Amino acid sequence: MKTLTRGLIILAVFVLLAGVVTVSVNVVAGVAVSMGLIDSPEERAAEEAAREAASASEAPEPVEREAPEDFNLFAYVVQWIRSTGKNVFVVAIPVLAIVVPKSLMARLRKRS
Amino acid sequence: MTSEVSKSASSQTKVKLWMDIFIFISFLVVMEPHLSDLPVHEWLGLALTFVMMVHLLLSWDWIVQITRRFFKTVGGQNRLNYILNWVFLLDGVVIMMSGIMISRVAIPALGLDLVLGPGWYKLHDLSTNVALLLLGLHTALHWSWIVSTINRYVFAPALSLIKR
Repeated sequence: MKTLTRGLIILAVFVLLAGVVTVSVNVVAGVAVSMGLIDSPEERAAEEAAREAASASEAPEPVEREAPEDFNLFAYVVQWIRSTGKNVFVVAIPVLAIVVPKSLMARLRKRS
Repeated sequence: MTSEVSKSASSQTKVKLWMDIFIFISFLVVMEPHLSDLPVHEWLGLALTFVMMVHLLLSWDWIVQITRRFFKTVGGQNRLNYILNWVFLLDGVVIMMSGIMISRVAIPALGLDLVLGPGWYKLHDLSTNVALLLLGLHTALHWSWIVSTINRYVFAPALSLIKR
């Protein structure tokens, strides 16, 4: 019962924050649309539809599609390691920036 | 009685550790939608929202304790940690909401059709990048807990298994 109540409180906080975020984004977007800084969703949809209609009327003759390239597991894994490595690096920067000086200070304090 | 309490605290810590490892790995997978594929990105992202709730549930005592004492006797690091966690939570909610708004697989599969306002894509990108930085700060502030818990529940049992 206690856990359920706590879970419901956390859910309520999530929902409350989600509501605040949605309302804030919509208000900011509304202000930006009314000031003419960005297009409204309806205008964008109309523009997109017009663009699609134009491209459909000018559609080139269908070209034979090339067969999809074979799946290369090695290249996929390398790509994963590269992009995930980048993210890990970004996480590691603040960790190193905080943990290393802190442990150095602690060691120096111990010595003195 | 005391041993029962410490046993339950220890198993809770273990659950928390494995859950945090799961969250970290899932976060890395979710961060690469072009590699993990969009359905995986969206469903795993939605699942992470619920896992985050359990993570908060497991930290309930700490949250309540610091909330009560925030304006009285809270140390500098705890105060910073508490503020950072609120910012992280807010950022997580922004990621979740913008993700729901721009969803092309999970939300339509649930039978919902949302009217997409401008700015949600950019907001999703921005909040995710901020989350990476916040995750780094969150990890740094919990570093001693992470190291001691991994030593206790991963390395020590593994070493004792090897020694046998």
